[in-house]
Amino acid sequence: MLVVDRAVAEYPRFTLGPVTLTLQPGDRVALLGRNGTGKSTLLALMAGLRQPERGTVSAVPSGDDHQLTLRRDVAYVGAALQALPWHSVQEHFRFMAQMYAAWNTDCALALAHELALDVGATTGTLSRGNIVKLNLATAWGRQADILLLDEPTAGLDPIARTDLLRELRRSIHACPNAIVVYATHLLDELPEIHPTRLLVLRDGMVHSHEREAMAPLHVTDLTALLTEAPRRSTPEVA
Amino acid sequence: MTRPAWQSLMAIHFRRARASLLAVTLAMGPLCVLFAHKSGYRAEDIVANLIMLCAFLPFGVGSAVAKSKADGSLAFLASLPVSAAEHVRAWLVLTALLATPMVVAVTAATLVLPVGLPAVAAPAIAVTTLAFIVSVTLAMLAVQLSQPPAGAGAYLIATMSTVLLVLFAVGKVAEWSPTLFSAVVRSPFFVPGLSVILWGVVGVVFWRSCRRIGHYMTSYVGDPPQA
Repeated sequence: MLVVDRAVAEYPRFTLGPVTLTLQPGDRVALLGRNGTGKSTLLALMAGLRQPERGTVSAVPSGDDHQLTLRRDVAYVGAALQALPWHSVQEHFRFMAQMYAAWNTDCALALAHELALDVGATTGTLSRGNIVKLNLATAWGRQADILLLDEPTAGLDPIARTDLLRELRRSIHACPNAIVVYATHLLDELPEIHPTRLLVLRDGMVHSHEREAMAPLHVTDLTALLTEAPRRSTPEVA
Repeated sequence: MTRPAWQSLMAIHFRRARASLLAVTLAMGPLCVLFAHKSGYRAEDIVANLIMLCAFLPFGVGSAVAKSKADGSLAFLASLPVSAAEHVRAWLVLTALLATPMVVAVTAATLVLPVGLPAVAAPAIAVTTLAFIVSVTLAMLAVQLSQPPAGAGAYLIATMSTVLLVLFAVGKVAEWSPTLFSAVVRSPFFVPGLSVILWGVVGVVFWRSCRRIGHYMTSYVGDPPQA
């Protein structure tokens, strides 16, 4: 379980929150919002990559150090390289094995193979699309119960995108208790993860919409959510 | 884990700093030999040149911060499930190791240079030098970590320039007025006074720097909130 309790992240010209959320095992969450509304900041808070100025974010059960527990138990996949640029993909996997007790190299290698990622390549020379593939394979190898995906298909070619979505779908089915948060601008991808919940960020505030996982998602409805307050929205923020 | 996280981190930081350390040694080593040759290989000059060379080595870790900030690898390291204490330990041990040649050179200076200090003072001076160099370097690291990548590089250059200027100034004072320098050094208040000042500064700087390094390495994934 992931608990965000009145968390606030402040920037000179933007404030996210206070955000209050509880994500239960098995939740499939689509995180939507226009550029600059704080999606990546919210994911960084959830992944323990950024400390909130106020409030708390914690994975339950949590140790004494919330940040440390989050960084251990939450896998975050972003568009930037999440590896040392001089390591090869294989060296990176070995390094991750030193850092994460639950690391599974076979799992990471299997996804890298599925996504046609060259494991001998130096990570610093990978293209943007291959960086996302590497980050995904790393997240898979970590065997984390909480997976945060920050626009994972951005920069991927159509074939890699299809492969990735297929693997993601397969992985979600294989781990029914995992929490998956999927942030994207590509609204047509959302049906692939069958979200049980939509989180919409507007003006630094989070609005939550519960939904049936298998109910059809319409792009026009989703677009409307991004721009105006819908009638049946349930603000989770005080 | 096959080895403690701090050791893996230290190896990574050293790898980043390796090229800078090599460049400093290759650039200043021949200069030291040249100056020593020019002065007829006097022990005082050799030791003074060695101190100058060794003083730059601990600051080599600053290049690791600058490089790692620029290519995002610092953010990656900060995203790992490593405690603030382990991050600090990695920087601390690396800095201490790189400061060791400087400690050896300063200890040699107390024995070789005609400043009249008793031999028993050498260990105390060595320990004080180590603590001082490590604290100054950690302070520089803490400031670098709180800056965007360009600022991190600028602070490294500024700190190295300051160290060079201070060493140059001390050397010049000794050269221009050896009697005054000798009188100050031989004064009964010199060693206790300097020790109190140094250890006071070292204590505060060390404590604050360690806290800041731990904070920045774990709270903002290598970048301050305003960056």
